[in-house]
Amino acid sequence: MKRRTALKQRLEHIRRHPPSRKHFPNEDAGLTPPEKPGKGARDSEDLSVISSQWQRLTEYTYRRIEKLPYPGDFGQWNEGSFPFPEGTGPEDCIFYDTETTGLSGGAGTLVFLVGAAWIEKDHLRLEQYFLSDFPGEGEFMEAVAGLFSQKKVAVSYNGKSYDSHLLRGRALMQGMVFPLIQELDLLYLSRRVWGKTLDSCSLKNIEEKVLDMVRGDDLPGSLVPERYFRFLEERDSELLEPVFRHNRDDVLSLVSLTSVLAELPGRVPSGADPLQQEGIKGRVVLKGDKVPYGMDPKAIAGLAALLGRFKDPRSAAVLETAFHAGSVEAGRALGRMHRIDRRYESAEAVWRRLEKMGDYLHARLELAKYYEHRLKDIGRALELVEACLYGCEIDPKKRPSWIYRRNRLQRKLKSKIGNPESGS
Amino acid sequence: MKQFLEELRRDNRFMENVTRWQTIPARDGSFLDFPEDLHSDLQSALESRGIRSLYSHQRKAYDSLRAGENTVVVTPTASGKTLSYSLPVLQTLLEDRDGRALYLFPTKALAQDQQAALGDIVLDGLLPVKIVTYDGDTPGSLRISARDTGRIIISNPDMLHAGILPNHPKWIRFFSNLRFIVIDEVHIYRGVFGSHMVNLLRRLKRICRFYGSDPVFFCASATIGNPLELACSIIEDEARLVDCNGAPAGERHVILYNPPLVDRNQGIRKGITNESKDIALRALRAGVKTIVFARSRMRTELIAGYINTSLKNRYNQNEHIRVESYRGGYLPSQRRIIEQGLREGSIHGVVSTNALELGIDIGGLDLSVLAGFPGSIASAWQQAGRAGRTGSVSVSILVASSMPVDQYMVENPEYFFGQNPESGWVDPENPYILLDHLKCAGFELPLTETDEVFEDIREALEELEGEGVLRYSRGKWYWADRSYPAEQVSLRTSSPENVVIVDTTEGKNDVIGEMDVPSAKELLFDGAVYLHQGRRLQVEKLDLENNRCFVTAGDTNYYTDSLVKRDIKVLSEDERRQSAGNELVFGDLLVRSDVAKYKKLRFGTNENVGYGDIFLPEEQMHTRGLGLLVSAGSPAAAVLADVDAVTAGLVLSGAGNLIRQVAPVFLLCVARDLGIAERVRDPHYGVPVIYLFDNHPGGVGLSEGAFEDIARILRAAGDRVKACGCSGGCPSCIGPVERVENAELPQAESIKERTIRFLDSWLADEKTDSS
Repeated sequence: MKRRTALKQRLEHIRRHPPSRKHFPNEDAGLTPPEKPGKGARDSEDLSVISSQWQRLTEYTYRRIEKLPYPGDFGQWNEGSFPFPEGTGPEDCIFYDTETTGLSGGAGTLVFLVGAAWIEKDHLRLEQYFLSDFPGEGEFMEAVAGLFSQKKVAVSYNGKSYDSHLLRGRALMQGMVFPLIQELDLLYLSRRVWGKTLDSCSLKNIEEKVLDMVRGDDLPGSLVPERYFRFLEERDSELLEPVFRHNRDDVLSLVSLTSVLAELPGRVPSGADPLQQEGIKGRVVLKGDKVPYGMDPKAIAGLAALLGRFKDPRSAAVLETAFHAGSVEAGRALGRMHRIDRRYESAEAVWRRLEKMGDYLHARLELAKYYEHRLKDIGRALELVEACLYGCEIDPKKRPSWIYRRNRLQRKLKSKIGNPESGS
Repeated sequence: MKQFLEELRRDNRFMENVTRWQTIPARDGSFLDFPEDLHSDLQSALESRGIRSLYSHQRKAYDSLRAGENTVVVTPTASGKTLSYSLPVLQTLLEDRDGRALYLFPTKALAQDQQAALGDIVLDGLLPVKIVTYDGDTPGSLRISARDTGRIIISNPDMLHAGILPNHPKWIRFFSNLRFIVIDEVHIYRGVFGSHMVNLLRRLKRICRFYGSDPVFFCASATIGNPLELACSIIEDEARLVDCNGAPAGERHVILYNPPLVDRNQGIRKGITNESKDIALRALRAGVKTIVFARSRMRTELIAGYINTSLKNRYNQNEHIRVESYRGGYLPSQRRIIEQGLREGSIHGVVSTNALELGIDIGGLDLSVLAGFPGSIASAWQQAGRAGRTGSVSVSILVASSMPVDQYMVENPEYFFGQNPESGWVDPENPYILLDHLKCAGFELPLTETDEVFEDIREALEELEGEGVLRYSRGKWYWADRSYPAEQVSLRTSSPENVVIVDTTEGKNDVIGEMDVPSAKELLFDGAVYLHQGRRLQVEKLDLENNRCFVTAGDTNYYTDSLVKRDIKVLSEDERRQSAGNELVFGDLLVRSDVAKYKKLRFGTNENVGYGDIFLPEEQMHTRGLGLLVSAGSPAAAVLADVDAVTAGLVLSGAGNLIRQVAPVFLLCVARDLGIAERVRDPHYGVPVIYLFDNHPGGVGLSEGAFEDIARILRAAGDRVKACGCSGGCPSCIGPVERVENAELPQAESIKERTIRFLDSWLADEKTDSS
C-alpha cells in the first residue's frame, strides 16, 4: 500500500533537506565539499605527489627512512633494568606512534601512518610508513607488522589502551595476526612519576616541562583526521607534511623520554642530604644538568614505586631519598619493603618516623602488628591501638577492625596477666 | 475467584456495561519426550528441576533449530518459551565447545530477567556454558572476560548497535563461532524500531560472514496476525513456524467493559481511571491478585494513588493489601523489589504501564484490568496474559476509554476475538534509516555495490560519498570520517538524553528516577506536580542545561497537565495531488512544540482549578508530513464557506482528531508516532490546512504512506464519527466537548454533522451520501 518513490529521488530529497542532526565541528567547516565526489581517486595513481623522500613500496604504501644520531646518554641505561621489562634493553625496543582517521576507536578508525624508531649500532633509525588510500591497507599492515616482529618491546605513549588495540584490530580485519610483543607505555610511567606534580601528562606537556623542548608549529593531533581526508580528495602531500612531522616528533620524544626515565634513578641523590639543603619545592635543576626533571618528593616517590615494580635494585635507595624528602607514600613503601625483607629494625625506624610525620593510623597499625606478632609486646601494641581509637579519626567502615584488634589484644593481655607462666 | 466472578455476573450495574463476556475453556498440556540426543548433563539438570518431558512446541522448536532451520515460535505468555530455544542452544554449545550464541531482548530489564531464568536452567554453573549479560550496565572490568569467555551473550539491540558491532575486532572469537541468534519478543520490532532492527541484523550478518560464521535464527513472538511474515522480514530469510502451543492453560474470562454514559447527549462516559480503580479495588478486597495496565505513566500513578487512598480509609487496622505502581523512570533496584514482591505474594496488586507487558517474571496473577485499549490487539492479549496460572481461572477486563479506537473495539468484539488481529510491519528501505545503518555498516567493514547483505545500494553509497563520509576507491566504499556513526543513530527515540529526577525534600538529595527530555518538558516543568510511587512531588526547578530536575514533597490537592502548542513551518513541498477535487501536499516540515501553559486539575474530581505559565525553550523537529489544503473553490472549502473562523477551527480540529485516531490502524503504528495540527488560516498556503506528520525527526515514512492512502483513512474517520452514538460530538469522535458548545452553526447543524460533511467532501464517491 505504500508508495515507493525511486530511492534516488528520495535520496535527492534528503540531500536537499538533510535531517537536522548534530555534526562534528571540523577544521574545514568553511570549505565547500568537493564538487565531484571522489575525483581523481579511482584510477591507479602515480603518487609522485608524495615528496621525493618517500619510497614507494607497493601501490599504496610508502616509506621514509631517516638516520639520526644516537639519542641521550645511553651509558647509564645498563645500570638497572628500569624502564625496560625484565630481560630487555634499549636495543630490544621499537618506539612507535600511529596517526589515525578518528579518535573514538572502533572498526572504522583507520591507521594511515606509523612512525617507528629503533637503535641500530651507532645511530637511531626512524622509519615512517604511510598508507595513501584504503585499498592498500593489507600490504601496509604487513609492512608494519614486519617491523614489530623483529623487536621484543613496543614503546609508546598511550599505546597500551589505544594504538596497540587499533593495530591488532586492523590486522585482524585484514586476516593477519599482529605480532604480539610487550607494550611499554610511557604514559603509565609518566603518570606515576609526574602525575602529581604536572597538571597534565600529555606528551606535549611532558615535552615542555620535562624534556625542556617546545615544538614550533606543531599540528594539534585532533586535526590529523581532517588533513588525511583532505589529502584523499586533493592528493596533495603538502597537506600531510605537518602530520608526518608531528608523527616523527612524537616518536623522537618517546626516545628522549625513555632515556630520561632510564637516567632518572641514577640522578636521584642518595639518602637525606642534598635535596634537603636545596629546599625541594617544585622542580629542581640538578647540579651540572641543564634539564629540569621535576624531581620533587612526590616524583621521587612515584619513581621509587615504579622501580620496585620493575625489580630495579635502585628502588630502596630512591625510596629512602623520597622518604627523607617528606613523602609519606615512599615511607609506607619503604617500611613495607623492609618488613618483607625481614629488616624489622629498619622498618620500625621508618614507621616511627612516619608517626612523627603525622601518618598516625598507618604507622601505628604497622607498629602494633610488629609489637604483637614479632616482639610479643602486647601492652605496647594495645597502647598504640587505643591511641588511634580514641585520638584519631577513623573511617567508620574500618572502625570495626580496629575494635576487633583491640579486643583481641585485651584478651591476650588478660590471659597473660592471669596466667603468666603460659606466655611464651 | 469463582465467587468474584459470580458476584460480577449477578451485579446488574456491572453487567449492563459489559459488551462481551467471552469464556475461553481450560486446555490440557500436550507433552512429548526429551529428544534422544539430549546431553545427559542437560537431562539431569532438567530432571533435578522436576521436568521430565517437554511441551510439544518446545520439542518441535528443538528439532527445527537442531536441524539448522530458522525457527519462529508463537506462544502466549508463560508457556516455557525460554526453554524452547535454550534447550537446543545449550545442547549445541555442549557439543561444540567453541560455539557461541547471542540472545537479544528489546530491553535491558528483560535481558536481566532472562539471565536469571537461564541461570536456573544451567544450574547456576553446573553446565559448562558461561552466560553473561553484556549491556550498558556491564562494568568495564567485566567486559573483556564477557567477550572472550561468554558462550551465551545476552544483550539488547542498542548495545549490539553502538557497542558490539562497531568494535567487532574485539569480538573475533565470538563472531567466528556464533551458532545461534535468538530474538525474543520479535513482535516488538515493527514500525520504526523494526525497520532499524532489520538493518541492524543486516550489519550483524555481514560481520558474521566476514568471520566465517552462519548463525541460525530463532524468533519468539507473541500472537499477532503475521508472526512468521514479520519474523521473516526481520531476519530476511525463510523460517519454520512453530505455533502449536503445548502448554496447559486454565480457564480464562475476557470481559469487554464500556463505562456508563454520564452525558448521553455528548457521549461522555465515566473515566477509565475511576472505573478501573473501582474494578481493581473490588477484586483486591475479594482477595484476587490484580494487575492494572494504564496507558501513561501519569495514569499509572493516579490509579495506584486512588487505590491506596481508598484502601487506607477502609483498612486502618490490620487488613493489609499492598498495591504498588510500576513504570519506566523508576530505578532498576526499585523495580526488582516490586517484581520480587509480586512473585512472593507480599504485593497483592500492581498498577503498571506496558513496562510489565513483556515477559518479566512476576509470577501468576488472577485478574488483569486494562485501563484503556493499549493500542494494539497483540498488546491487549499480552497484557491480558499476565493474569493466569496453570490450573486456575483467570480474568481480564478491558475498560474502554472514550477514544475512538477503544470505542471501536467494544463496539466490534469480533475484531478483538477474531483469528487475525493486526499485523506487524517494517520498512527497512526507508532511506533515512537505511542511510544511517549504511554509515554504521561502512564504519564496520568497507561496502561494495554488490554487498551480500545490503542489496541495491549503489545510489545510497554514492549519496553517502557525496556527503563525504564514505570514500570510493578500487570498487569499495570506505568509512572516511572521524566520527563514530552509531553514536549519532538511536534505534528508538530522537533524544538519547535523560533528565535525572532528584528528590530534595528536607535536605535530601536522592535520585528517584529519570525521564527523556521531551517528556520532561511536558511533565517536569517548574511548578508541575509529579507523581512518583503515589507520592505527590512538586517540581522546584527543571535544569535542562545539566539535565536535572529537583523536586520536593508537596501537599497539593491538584495535579498538573501541560498544554502543548504546535507551530508548523513548511520547508519544502515535494508533491501535490488531487483527491476528489481537493488538494493535498507532501513535503518537509519544521514542527516547533512549545509548552507555555499548564492546567491545574483537582485530584478526584479532575476539575480545572487554574492555570500556570511554563518557561522552557521550544522543541524543534524537522520531519515529513502531509497537508490537506482547503483551497478556495474546492469541495472542502465549500463545506466551510458559510461559517466563521471559530467554527471552521472546530470542524478542522474535529476532523484532525478523528484522522489521528484512525490513521494508526492503517499505518500500523501508534497514535504518538503521528502528529496533527490544524490551521484555520495557514501562513504558508493562505487557506485552512490540516497537517499530519511523522512524530519522529527526519520522518519515518508514515505520513508518506498516509499521503498515498488518504482516502481510506478519511473514509474510516468518517465511518467512526457517523457510528458514534453521541448527539452532537463527543470525545470519542470529534474531540473535547466543551469547545463544541461555543460553536454557532446555521440551521441547528452540529459541529459533528459539519465534520462529517467536511470529511465526505474529500471522498469522490461519497459526497452525495452525506445527509
